[in-house]
Amino acid sequence: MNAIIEAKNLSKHYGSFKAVDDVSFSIGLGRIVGLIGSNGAGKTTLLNAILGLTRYKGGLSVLGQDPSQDRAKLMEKVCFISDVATLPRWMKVSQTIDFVEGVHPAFSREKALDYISRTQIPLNKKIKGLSKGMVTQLHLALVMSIDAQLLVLDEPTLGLDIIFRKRFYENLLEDYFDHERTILVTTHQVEEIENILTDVMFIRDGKIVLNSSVDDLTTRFHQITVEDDAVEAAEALNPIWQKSAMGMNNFVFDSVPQEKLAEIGSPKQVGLADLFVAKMSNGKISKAKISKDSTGANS
Amino acid sequence: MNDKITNEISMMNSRKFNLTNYGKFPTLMVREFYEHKTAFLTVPLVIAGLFLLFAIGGLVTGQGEVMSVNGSHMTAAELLSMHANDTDIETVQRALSAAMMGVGGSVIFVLPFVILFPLLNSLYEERIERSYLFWKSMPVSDLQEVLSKLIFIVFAGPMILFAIASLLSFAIMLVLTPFMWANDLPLISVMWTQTPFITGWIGAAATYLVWALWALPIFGWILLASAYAPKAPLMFVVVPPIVVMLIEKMFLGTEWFDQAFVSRIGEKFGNTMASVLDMDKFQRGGVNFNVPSVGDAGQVLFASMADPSFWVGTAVAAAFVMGAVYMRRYKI
Repeated sequence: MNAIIEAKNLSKHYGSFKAVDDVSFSIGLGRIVGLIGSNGAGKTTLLNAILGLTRYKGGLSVLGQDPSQDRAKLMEKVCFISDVATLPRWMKVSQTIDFVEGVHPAFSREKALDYISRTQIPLNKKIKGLSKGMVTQLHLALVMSIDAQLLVLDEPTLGLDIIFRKRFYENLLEDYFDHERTILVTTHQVEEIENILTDVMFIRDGKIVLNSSVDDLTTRFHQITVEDDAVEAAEALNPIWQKSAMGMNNFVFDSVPQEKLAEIGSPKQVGLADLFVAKMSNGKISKAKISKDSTGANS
Repeated sequence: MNDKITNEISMMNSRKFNLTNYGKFPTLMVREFYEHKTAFLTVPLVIAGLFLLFAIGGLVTGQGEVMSVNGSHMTAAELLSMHANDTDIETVQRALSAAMMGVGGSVIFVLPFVILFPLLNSLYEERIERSYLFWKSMPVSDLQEVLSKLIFIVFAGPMILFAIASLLSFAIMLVLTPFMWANDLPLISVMWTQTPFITGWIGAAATYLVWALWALPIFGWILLASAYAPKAPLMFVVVPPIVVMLIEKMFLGTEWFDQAFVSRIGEKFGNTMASVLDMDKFQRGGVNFNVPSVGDAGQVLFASMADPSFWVGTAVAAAFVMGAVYMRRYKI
């Protein structure tokens, strides 16, 4: 009902390369969705389709609109930061504020100036005179001052130091997010956004391989660590991923009851980063054995 | 909290002009002005300033050149005394007008450069520095973006240069006045009443606009190259027409492409320029100089509108601009 983004059999091919391959999903109002995938997995292509920056095949509806039709109209309700430091380098900070105010009906100058006043960003300097961190802060300040329904962030903090990155997401949560807004974010630093997400989508080779709320993840995925003698018992429960090192064997399970796992080891929740690695390992069991008795027989 | 920034913020809150009152397109034009301030304001102002400085220097030392006409240089004294005994007021007026246009011409001289390079970079640089991602996050269509660049760089921005040229003419007259008075030259009132230092430049601006309409296919082509070029946009402007001309010449032995497009457009706006400025008839002695006027420019415009090749050119220009819009929209 409240779907902000609705994709049905969405595809985007570049020649024979399937950047996005027959993908269907739906993102509801008030969610913070992490789109997670490795380089070249199709994240940016998918986001570009959602933002009306590229054409696509299949069905896609963003806020009830076909994004490939009228990007300008869509951008009155959707905001995005693609990549770090995309603000025009020749512009002065004050001019960026004037500009957004002039073209965006939902922009609040007061808000923007308030956000900027909490930083060290000088208003009369050109963008090229600012540090990368400041440019990102400014961009976030501009975007947060726009009363949009959907905010899309594509690697917005890449290459910034950890203090900036932490503050970026803190600001986003404290000053911007409410349950009338929806945020879609991609990043390599999975750990940093793990606790702000309500949903995660894993994308690999243009396909969505996992689409789940974070709450469901915690009940669905578990990991156990066992010694060598329990390996067979663990393997019998069909782990989706395993890793053996120094005599300790780590298994990740999907939808295996916790009681069953408890018979072998002590089941723990799987961190998003670990889960990502597990799901990205080509769907098959990865036996990355670096154990002491490694024979090199496994691949 | 940093006091300096707080002050700045309060200044920003009471902003001098409110762009939101003007709508999107004027905001885009203001943005273009900010981006090209150096080309369209600083450079011509510096040239005008230098010219004025040299003129003052020349007057003070008594040997500087105020202007050069057809290659022969004249000092202010020579120029003014040349017509000092003329009773024919029209001759004097024309001489003054010609001098004035020559003076301001030093500013207009840079016009081709301040148009070419901003236009060439307009859709290229935003891709290179990736700021198109910011522009595209705003509720502004690609058509509006491309048109704002074309309209500012080709039509609105050059008007600033004509205004500066007019200002320079005025400043030169201001500087000449005490000099003429001190040297007992009797033409002060004639100079101030007969030199069309405002209307002449408005006429020149109007002439330029008509000329620019004829040149629109070239400007459109440059925009398209700017939107397309993966690197070195100037190469993408120059090379394709040359290649087409060469291939045609080699394989067909004809010069249809050259005659139909390249030379034709050049000739057309050359003629337009010449017919309004009447440069051919401009001579040092029997000065016969038509000050450009809005009326003449209007006549040329009307004549152009009856000329099918004008409309063919406009259609070609529109196709190029739409191509640039298409490129900006989908080629990212």
